[in-house]
Amino acid sequence: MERSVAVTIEGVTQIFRGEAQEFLAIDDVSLDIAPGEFLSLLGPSGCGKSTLLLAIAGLQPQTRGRIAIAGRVVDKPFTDLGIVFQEPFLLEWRSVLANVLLQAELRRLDREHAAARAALLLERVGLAQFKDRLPHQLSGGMRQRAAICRALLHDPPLLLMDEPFGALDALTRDDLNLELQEIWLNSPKTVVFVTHSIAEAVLLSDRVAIMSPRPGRIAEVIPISLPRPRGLDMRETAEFGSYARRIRDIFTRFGVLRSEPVR
Amino acid sequence: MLPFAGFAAFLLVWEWAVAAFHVRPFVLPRPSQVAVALVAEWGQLMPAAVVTAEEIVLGFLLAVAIAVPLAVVLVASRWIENTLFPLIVSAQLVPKVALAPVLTVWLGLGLVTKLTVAFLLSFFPILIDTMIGLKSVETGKILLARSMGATPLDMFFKIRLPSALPNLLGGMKVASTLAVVGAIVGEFIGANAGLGNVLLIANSNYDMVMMFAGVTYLTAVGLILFVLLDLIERWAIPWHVSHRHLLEPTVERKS
Repeated sequence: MERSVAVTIEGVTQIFRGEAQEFLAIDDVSLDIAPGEFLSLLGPSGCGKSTLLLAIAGLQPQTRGRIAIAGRVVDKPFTDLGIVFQEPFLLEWRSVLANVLLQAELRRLDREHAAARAALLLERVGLAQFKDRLPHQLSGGMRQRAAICRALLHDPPLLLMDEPFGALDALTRDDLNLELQEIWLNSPKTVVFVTHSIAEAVLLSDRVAIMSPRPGRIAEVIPISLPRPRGLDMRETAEFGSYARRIRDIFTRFGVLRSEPVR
Repeated sequence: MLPFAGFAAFLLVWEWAVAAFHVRPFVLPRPSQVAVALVAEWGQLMPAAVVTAEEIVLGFLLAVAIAVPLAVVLVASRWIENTLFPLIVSAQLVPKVALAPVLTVWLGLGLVTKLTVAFLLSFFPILIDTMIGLKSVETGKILLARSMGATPLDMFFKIRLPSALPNLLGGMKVASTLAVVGAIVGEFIGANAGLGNVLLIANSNYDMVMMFAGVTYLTAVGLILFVLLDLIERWAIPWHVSHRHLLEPTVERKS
């Protein structure tokens, strides 16, 4: 199996039909994501980032445009990937380990091999001693770690993450950011990472695609050429600051952020 | 222990009040009289309770056996739901108790009539609750399963059905109490056996002690069914909010 894949997005437009009117969620988005690249989709809430992610996964057909993964056109649910949503969506009746192994069950993977890999992944994210617990017995951060293990169980060449750390406290979020970077550095896969945190996007990404408020368009794609591995203290460096400022300026231009402090 | 203490206190006050206010036994018997009858009339009450319990359980199981698969079918297709569901709701709006005499004409005085009334009363809550359960799976779980290549059977048995279990079991608990009502209504319309029959005869004799003894047996039958369902629920969905055991905070006492 390929370790990572290219994702091509060409002129993707998404129109939803409401009760009374249609509304344009994504307007003509094109992006080329290279194999093994970590790309963030960064934008204000409601800009269609999540919609775009669902379209890439083939879970929601787009109105117009074309999406291809590794040259294969996506026109039905694409299964050779892993997904992490903002909510962990663990099955409440399954233990942590059984939740991770759901991935193997539904894919009819070899049980023994999958169990070994699950143990390894849980060990790596510090959940080894909690593998027999039920989801409600874990903290939010631990639940999300379990969801990440589930997404990685089959070592997918593509990882789609929709604000995976958005519901977590700041400390857990920082910690999981570093963990994700380490996972990605150890086994290079293409990652599409949806976020509305500028710091998170700059810290993790090779490139940050900035989306405008609704209707979502790609406003700018900014390559981040900070050296890796990146630590949290890098956020206080001048280079990091200038990336963050550049992105903030774009949001200020959109009117998403104020240009002056409120007096 | 507390529920029993409350119940015992209630019986004591009842016992005392009947004596203190000289209430005549054919208006309200003393609990102790009823207690004696529960044992003394065992030979008559127990076989009657078995007959009624059989009607309740069979009617209830029939309702589960039909309502659950029907809920699955209704939820599976918007088209089927739109076609059939209004019909089922209209059927539910017909007061089934009023239909019991008609059923007696059609099906006779035996077991079938009673279990049919029990079935009719307990069917709807199971259907509705199962449908709600099957529909209330979070979209995220469905999407994730789809991205993992889940087959329709996987989706049903590994995601939808377990998610629906809390609602399904809740509906069954409500239905079990309605099945008791159904069986007894069926027996009131016409029967030569069962607790309903015992109650009718006792009533025509102004035998209040026997009335209360019969009602006690009937309550016990309903309670046993309910407790069984509660045990099944604890076993089947220990993960559900309603059965979670939270960690108790400990507090050190200062001496």
